Amino acid sequence: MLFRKKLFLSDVIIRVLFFLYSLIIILPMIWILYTSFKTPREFLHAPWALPERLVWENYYNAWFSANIGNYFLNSVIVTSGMVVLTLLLASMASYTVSRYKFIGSSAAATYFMAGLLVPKVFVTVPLFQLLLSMNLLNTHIGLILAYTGMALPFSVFVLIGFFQNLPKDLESAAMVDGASHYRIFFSIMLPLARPGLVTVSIFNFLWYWNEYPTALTVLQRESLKTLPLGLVILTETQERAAEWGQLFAGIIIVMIPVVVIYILFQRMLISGLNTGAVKE
Amino acid sequence: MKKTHERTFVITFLIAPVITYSLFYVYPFINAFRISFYRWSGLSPRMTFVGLANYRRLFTDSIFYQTLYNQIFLIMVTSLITFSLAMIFAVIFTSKTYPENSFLRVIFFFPNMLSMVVVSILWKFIYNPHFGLLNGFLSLFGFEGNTALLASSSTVLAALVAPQVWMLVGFYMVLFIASINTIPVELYESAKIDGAGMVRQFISITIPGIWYTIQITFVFFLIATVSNSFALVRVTTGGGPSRSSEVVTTYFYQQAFDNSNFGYALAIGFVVSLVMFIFASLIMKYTKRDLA
Repeated sequence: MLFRKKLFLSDVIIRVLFFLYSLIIILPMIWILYTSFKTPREFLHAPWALPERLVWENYYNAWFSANIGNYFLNSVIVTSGMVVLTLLLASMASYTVSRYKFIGSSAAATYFMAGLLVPKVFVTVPLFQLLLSMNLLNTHIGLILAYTGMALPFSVFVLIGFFQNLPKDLESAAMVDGASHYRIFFSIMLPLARPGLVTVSIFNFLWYWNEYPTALTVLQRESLKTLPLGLVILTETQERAAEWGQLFAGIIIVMIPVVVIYILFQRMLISGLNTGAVKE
Repeated sequence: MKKTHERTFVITFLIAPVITYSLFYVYPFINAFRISFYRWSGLSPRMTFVGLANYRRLFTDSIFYQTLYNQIFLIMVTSLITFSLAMIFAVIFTSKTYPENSFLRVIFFFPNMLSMVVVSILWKFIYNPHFGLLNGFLSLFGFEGNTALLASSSTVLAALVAPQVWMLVGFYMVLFIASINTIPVELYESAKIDGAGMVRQFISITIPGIWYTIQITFVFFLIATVSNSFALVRVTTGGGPSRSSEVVTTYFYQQAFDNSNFGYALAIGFVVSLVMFIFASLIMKYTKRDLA
């Protein structure tokens, strides 16, 4: 009886601590959300208080005057471009490397994965030189290509795992029916590897939607910049102009697509992570 | 006939990914090594060969050593706290079945979805001495006084640990949970019969069982935190006060774009990436043994 009670007490302590930890995550999020509806005066006088009324103009001003709308569009162009291109290239590479035996097939896999072992941020300065010489600096296509190059190692790494686990004799069976290598890839293998393709695309979307250092290096013209760059600009100008509402509205706008994706695919994201990193 | 078809297929399918990856990711690193032997301002076409001058400068640059120290401090403290918390959370999530577990797991993982830029802006507000959440929270318990953690050179580095821990704990927790779930339950059951307690089970079953995952995730953690440190430091402190929170990644960038010292910046970048690459490959190579 006494033993039981003691166990119960430790359970209560753990659950309370977990609850408190979740507050450290939830409270700042809620604070950002309701602060995005406050006037600057309200914010300065009572930064913690709830807004007296919902100032939707903050969103209007952030979207139009602070250019968030334009940054948003740029982010959509760059991120969707890189997600599609990476998906195509990564599935081609990982499929050939994992399902065909040829001289250098494992060397090619290692070559792609070696990219995982270097901090990406150090590519920025030499990339600047490369894109400058190719006339791709200050272009969205330049940033898309740079993102694709740096996203390939992770994408190939995850997709190799998916292609390897597909049944062994699929190709030879299709071959007997007279299907070409290309047909087999597009109409048999790609549909079968769909969970892997979705997982990789979601991760690429989230990571490159949020990416900062490379975008900072490649896009110096204001009209081309993506959301993370725009947010930093907004932080700097809002500090001087004290238009806090717009900044918080901007943060919420950046987070909306991410939160939607997270709610829709949360189960897939968490299980998708495990296929790559955990020993089978 | 069949073989040539296969060869054409493999070549056509590999050529585009290999070229994209090589040109836009591998080549810049190699080219960085080449340019690190030059003095080059970045935009001008003139490059002067200076031999090892950039490297000689690197090894005598006290600011470089300072930023290296800051970087290593951040990595060590952040990884220690993140891994300990993630491990404790993972062990509790896998051994207890509270009804709120799956909800908490989703909440804990969430900050990892945010941009490092958003996390940095958020924590700048949390630390704000005038209206920040932290000071407001502390004042609830009677700790008055507007401590500006980010503005003092003695506290700034420690203050920069929290945002990364906050962001990353859930991610590593999820990886550890998955790994712990692959350990056969019978191991724990027989340990219980032998009278082993929670701590004993953790040390002799859980840790060896997920050792592979710990090593792999540590490598990725290391590389991710170095990359993240750039946005974190730039947005929160800009490296200040007086370089006390400057890290290698921001110093490297500053040398190129603020000081127009591309050659020197690339020498810094090349040395640090090479060291990290070798270190990471050694860990991966060592852990590969378990894979087979």
